[in-house]
Amino acid sequence: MTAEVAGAVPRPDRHRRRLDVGGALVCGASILLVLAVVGAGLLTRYNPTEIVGTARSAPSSAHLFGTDQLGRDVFARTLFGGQQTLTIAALSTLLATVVGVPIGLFAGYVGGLRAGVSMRVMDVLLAFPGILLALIIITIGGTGRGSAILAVGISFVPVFARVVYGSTQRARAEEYIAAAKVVGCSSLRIMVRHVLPVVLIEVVVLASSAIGWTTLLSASLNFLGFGVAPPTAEWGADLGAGTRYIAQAWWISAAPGLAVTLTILLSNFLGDYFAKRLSAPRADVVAATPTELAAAPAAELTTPRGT
Amino acid sequence: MSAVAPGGEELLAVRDLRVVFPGTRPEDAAVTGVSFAMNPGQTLGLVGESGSGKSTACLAIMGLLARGATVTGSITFRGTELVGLPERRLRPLRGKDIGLVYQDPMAALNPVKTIGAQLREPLRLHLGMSRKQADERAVELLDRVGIDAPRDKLRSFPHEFSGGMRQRVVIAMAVSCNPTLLIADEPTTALDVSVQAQVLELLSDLTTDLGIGLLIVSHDLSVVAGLADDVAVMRHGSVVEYGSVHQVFQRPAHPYTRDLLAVVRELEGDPVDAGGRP
Repeated sequence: MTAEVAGAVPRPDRHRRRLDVGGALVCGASILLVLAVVGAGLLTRYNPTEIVGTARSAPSSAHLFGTDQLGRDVFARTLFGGQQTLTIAALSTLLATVVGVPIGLFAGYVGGLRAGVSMRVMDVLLAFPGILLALIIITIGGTGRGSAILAVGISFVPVFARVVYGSTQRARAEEYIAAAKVVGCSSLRIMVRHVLPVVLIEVVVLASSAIGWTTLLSASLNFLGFGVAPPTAEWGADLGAGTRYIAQAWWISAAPGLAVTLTILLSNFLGDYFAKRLSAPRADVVAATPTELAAAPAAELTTPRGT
Repeated sequence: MSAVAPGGEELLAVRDLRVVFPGTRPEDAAVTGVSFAMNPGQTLGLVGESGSGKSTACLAIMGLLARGATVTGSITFRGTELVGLPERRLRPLRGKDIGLVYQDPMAALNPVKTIGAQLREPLRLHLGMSRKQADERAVELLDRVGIDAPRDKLRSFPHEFSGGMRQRVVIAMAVSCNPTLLIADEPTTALDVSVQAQVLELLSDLTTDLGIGLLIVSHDLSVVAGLADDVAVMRHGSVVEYGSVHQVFQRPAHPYTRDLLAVVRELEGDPVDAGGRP
């Protein structure tokens, strides 16, 4: 009677996994970007806040990206500026995740009036454009890095709450969640141990894309002058400062602008990559594979295409 | 005549069970006036066409009906009244004293958790086992339900298993805490025909060896005939015939039971229809 189970099903996903060139490129580029920003001091000999040359000199071998309106090295400012921007982006994404995920999980699992109330609050927050909400928080909390993190983070809480709310509701309808209840789990345990791992896949995807959005929002706040105080280098702030000289010295704005663009692009690609890579193994889809493999004669599988 | 001796130490007694779902009229109750009883270690088959209220009755026993469903009547499990029992008191029973085997093993296992993690959960929750103890017990259980190389399988994910293997895992989970009652809701319906017999044999072996009472729900009379001591035939939410397997199948009293049996015999008696298709 064990004949059927004796032939263990091969792990089709592992056999079939090919090297994903695009994914490897995106991951590699993202790691490089972070390394360059973190190790900024090793990549440039200039101090980002020190005047090292003539103001507004064009890119040259001495100053790769030229110098800014005061004569500071733009390459150094772009590298060091990333430390500010990416810190704000990463911490605010973390904040949005840590606050938004439990709200969505709870509301999605418990349902009823309490869920209705908390999700309507999220909808109200979501109705504000992100930048406006962030500006309101800045107005209350004052300018500065901490305040910017809080502002950007809170603006993205409803996004995380919404997504997790939706996928929790979907997961709750699954039989394996009912099965966890049958095993005797409490609601809290089901939420944390059974629903969260399922939902976490979407959270990872969302968070990696959200890094791009929070980068944009924090650069925007700094562009408007509500973030770090000068002379600290920051992408949005430098981009804003350069706009006054855009006709004579385009590179002052272009370098941090390109850095923001690159970050957003990479973050979006990273999100897509994770979405593809982490999608839950679908029983119904994968289950067909070993049977197909078994059904096809070995010769057919080894014969090269076209012969 | 009921096959369960009155006054005996009943494992499960359902009396006059009635379930009304929200938004439906009281006269459209999903289950009306259902009564049956089981002795410890006994197997009771609940048969009927789809929509006859079999599954609803089972979910009512586990207290798993959707919020708002009105349950009246009495369900006693080893002397404890389950109707109206708060969630907090039901939870220790679920998975420990009452196990449930789902219809669809594809859906009943969490796709992102390993087989081992899912097997360990009831053991740690109800028996307070350490991770190591639970692992040992999980290996024993997988071995018992006929899965090869059980230790290696603990780290596998459900999608790496075939349907029959998955149903064995679900059964292993259901019996892991030595329940006294196992409810199997259409345990073979979602499986290949070739695997169905093996799973039924496993259920029968396990419940006999471990002295577990089995409540098996099926629309398939042959499944019930092979396993059950008693049978309750349901139709339109109520039990139309109830008695020992022998009695019901040999001398069906209700016209509906006769019809059901006639269909089975017709299929079995006609080789072209029953086995002629490839």
